[in-house]
Amino acid sequence: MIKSTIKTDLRRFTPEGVAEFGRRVDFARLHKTNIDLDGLLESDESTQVIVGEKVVGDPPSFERYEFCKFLHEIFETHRNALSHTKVNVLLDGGLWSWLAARWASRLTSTKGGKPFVGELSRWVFESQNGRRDYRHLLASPYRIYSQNVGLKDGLNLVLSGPVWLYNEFFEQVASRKYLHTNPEALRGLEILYWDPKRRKEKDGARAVVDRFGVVFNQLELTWDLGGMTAEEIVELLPKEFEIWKP
Amino acid sequence: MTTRTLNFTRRSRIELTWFHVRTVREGEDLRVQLLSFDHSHLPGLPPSASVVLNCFLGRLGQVRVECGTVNNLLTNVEKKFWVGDHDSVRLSLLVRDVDGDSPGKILARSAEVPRFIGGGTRSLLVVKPENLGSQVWRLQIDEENGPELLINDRIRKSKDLVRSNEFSALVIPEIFRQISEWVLLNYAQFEEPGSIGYSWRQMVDELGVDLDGEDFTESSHREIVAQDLEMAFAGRHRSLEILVTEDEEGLDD
Repeated sequence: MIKSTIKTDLRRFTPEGVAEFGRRVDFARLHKTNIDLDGLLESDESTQVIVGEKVVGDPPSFERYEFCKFLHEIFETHRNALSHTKVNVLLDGGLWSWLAARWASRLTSTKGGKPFVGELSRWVFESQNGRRDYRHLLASPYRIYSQNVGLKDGLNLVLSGPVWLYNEFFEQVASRKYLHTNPEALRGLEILYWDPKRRKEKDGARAVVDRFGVVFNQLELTWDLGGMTAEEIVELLPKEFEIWKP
Repeated sequence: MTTRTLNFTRRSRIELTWFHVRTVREGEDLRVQLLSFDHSHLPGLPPSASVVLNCFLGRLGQVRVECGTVNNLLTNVEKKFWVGDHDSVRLSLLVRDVDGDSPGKILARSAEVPRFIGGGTRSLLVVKPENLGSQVWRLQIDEENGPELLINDRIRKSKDLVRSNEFSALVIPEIFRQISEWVLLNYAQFEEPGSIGYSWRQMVDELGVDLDGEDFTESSHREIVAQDLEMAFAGRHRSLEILVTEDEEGLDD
């Protein structure tokens, strides 16, 4: 359990704030340092207040599913304030860039003993860039979570692991819009690759999951996958998937 | 040398002119309804096959509207969903096998076509692609939503057309004249700030034509005043100059 820290307002970066944050991310990436956030997170020049009360604490966990659930509760509780400030939770670059900055110290992993920041799109959310928007550390998993709220099975594989850690299942799904917007397809993924008894992925699944995405895209041309159950989708898969079927 | 396209899927193509969809924006929501689907061009479709209208909203999702079957098309099914500040959705109609050899298989599908649905902030004049037959454009005035400019949906770049100099100079003044008649008829009722009628009344007032105390119940009087307003509008927006300047630039070439 993460120790509770001081809560902050819910804010978003202004365009100037996003640009400055981007510059600091670039600097950290090039110099293999932590992102310098000094004077940025609560500055009136670089941020705009959405909820002017201390509502953003630390999440109970940085596991993708738990983290998204935590954010969802904040957004639901303060829906009126978000609407009032015209923040579109799924698309607001200023909001997601600020949230990434808010937890930057926890989201930065290490490589070779030095801080590893990675590419800019992990931190600055470019909602209009279809090739990069799914790479954001927080916005992308949250999009999948919010599109499938209430889905009993289907998110165990995709939203597993800490948000900063590469997850092959997440990568395959997040980059394919027909996949992550289809709850039955996500459930189909779990029928194949999730071991319900051990509550973990099947051994070796990570190495082959990319085939599911590729074949799904091919089937989508011929079959109305949006109107099929997970079992029907799995039934359509070619022979190479037989060993994964229960 | 000729090139042939092989249709491995044996799927039929639904032409965009064979179906008609209505989209109505309500704040951050969109209501979608399939109004008609002329499947007589596809005589081989099984009567029990399902008809589905898909609405795509980029990465944010896909909404399905189940519209009955080929022989029992449901044109009264309306689906409402959140679109936020998106200004367009992509629509596609498909027919899927239900009772045949391959349930779930797509038997016919249209291309995904973008449908302009207006921005998050309310536009004074909503532009909508519509099936207008051979007509290029038409003004429709809805009591609730106000004026809507319908552009023939066979024109792919309708937004570009509306923004073009030719359209601005030649067509927009006439649209304004038609809207002015509607404003004049309802002049006294358009008093509620924030309403679409009030916004249009303000626009008419700003042209400086004195309308105080006038009675517009007589259509002939309304028509005359609307023509005056059209002239004032064209003058304000320099309709003639737009074309004259363009013409002169063309001569230089």
